[in-house]
Amino acid sequence: MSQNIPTLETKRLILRGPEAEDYPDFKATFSSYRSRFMGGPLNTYEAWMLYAAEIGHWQVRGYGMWMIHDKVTDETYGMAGGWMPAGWPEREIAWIIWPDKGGHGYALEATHAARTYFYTQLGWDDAVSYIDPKNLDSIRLAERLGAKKDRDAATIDGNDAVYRHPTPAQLDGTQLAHGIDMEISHYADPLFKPKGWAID
Amino acid sequence: MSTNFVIPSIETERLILRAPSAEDLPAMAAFFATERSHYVGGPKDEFGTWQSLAARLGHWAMNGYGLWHLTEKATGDFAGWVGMIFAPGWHEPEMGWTLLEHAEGKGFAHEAALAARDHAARHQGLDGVISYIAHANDRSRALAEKLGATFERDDELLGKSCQVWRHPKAGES
Repeated sequence: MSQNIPTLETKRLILRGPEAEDYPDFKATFSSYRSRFMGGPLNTYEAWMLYAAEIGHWQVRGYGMWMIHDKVTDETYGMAGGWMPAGWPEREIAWIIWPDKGGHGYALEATHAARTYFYTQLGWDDAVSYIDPKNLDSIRLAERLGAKKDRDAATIDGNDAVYRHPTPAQLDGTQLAHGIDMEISHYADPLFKPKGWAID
Repeated sequence: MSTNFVIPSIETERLILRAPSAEDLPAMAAFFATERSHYVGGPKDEFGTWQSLAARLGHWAMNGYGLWHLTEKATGDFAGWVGMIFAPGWHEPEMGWTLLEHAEGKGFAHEAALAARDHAARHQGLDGVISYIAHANDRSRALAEKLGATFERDDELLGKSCQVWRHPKAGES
């Protein structure tokens, strides 16, 4: 048995399957407070087993979480993709960005690419994101991706909010899709570049 | 480079050692709900069992070796697992084995462990490995002896005390 995970390329990023050499970055984040909304912080054994499960998820489900790399430097910024272990009511689109890599639109760019892949290559017709109600950054990202809170959908354990992503039809050629593209473009190549820092 | 791992299949007289599969989940979940699983990291709920299966696959990608699941040739039944385990908390790679209840008492674990140990020594660079065995796990200790392993020391794994048994190197057994 062997496993090959597809590679996705965006303006600034390459999304590849999680590899053994990327584990230290994952471990640093999942042993930190940064992972508090994703079941962490984890001890070294738990973090290793979760990372191994991230890899195995691809084999079991045929999709999974990609490692987000900088296209130029190959540095990792976080993970994004699909996630559905036992007990998940529906397929989830998930993301996590390393604590010092936030604020650059990487999660938006990577998650958008992952969702597009699931919709166009795997034929998904919808997806949700399960988000801790205190995780305001992730809620904001879900909303920037056009997801809306679904109060009627089943949750994982009652402590999470369900954000339902727009369907492929709701995205195709719409203002929403255009807006997402615009925002990603702006991160990749800002329209207005500051020429220096303000003095006061 | 992309994530790419290969899990070879091995055939013995009565068993096939092959990659863990999602089809094994119901039997794994049933096992991890029993007291027998307490010797090997159990009990686990449905989520824990699923994560364990996914992690067994990822273990191969991380280490280049891992656990095989066993298929009984005569019946096609999933019989248990055997293979090499190495994760944070382990002092060195370990050979582990578990048989599901219906497959016990037929010498399957012995047959599978011999094949796994031989493969690991010849192809995975793991020779003279250890097995961690819970103090109360008499059946596993008996198998370790039958496999030619010897008691090395008392130790601890993930906060539980256990014994360390050392297997003979290939050609010494």
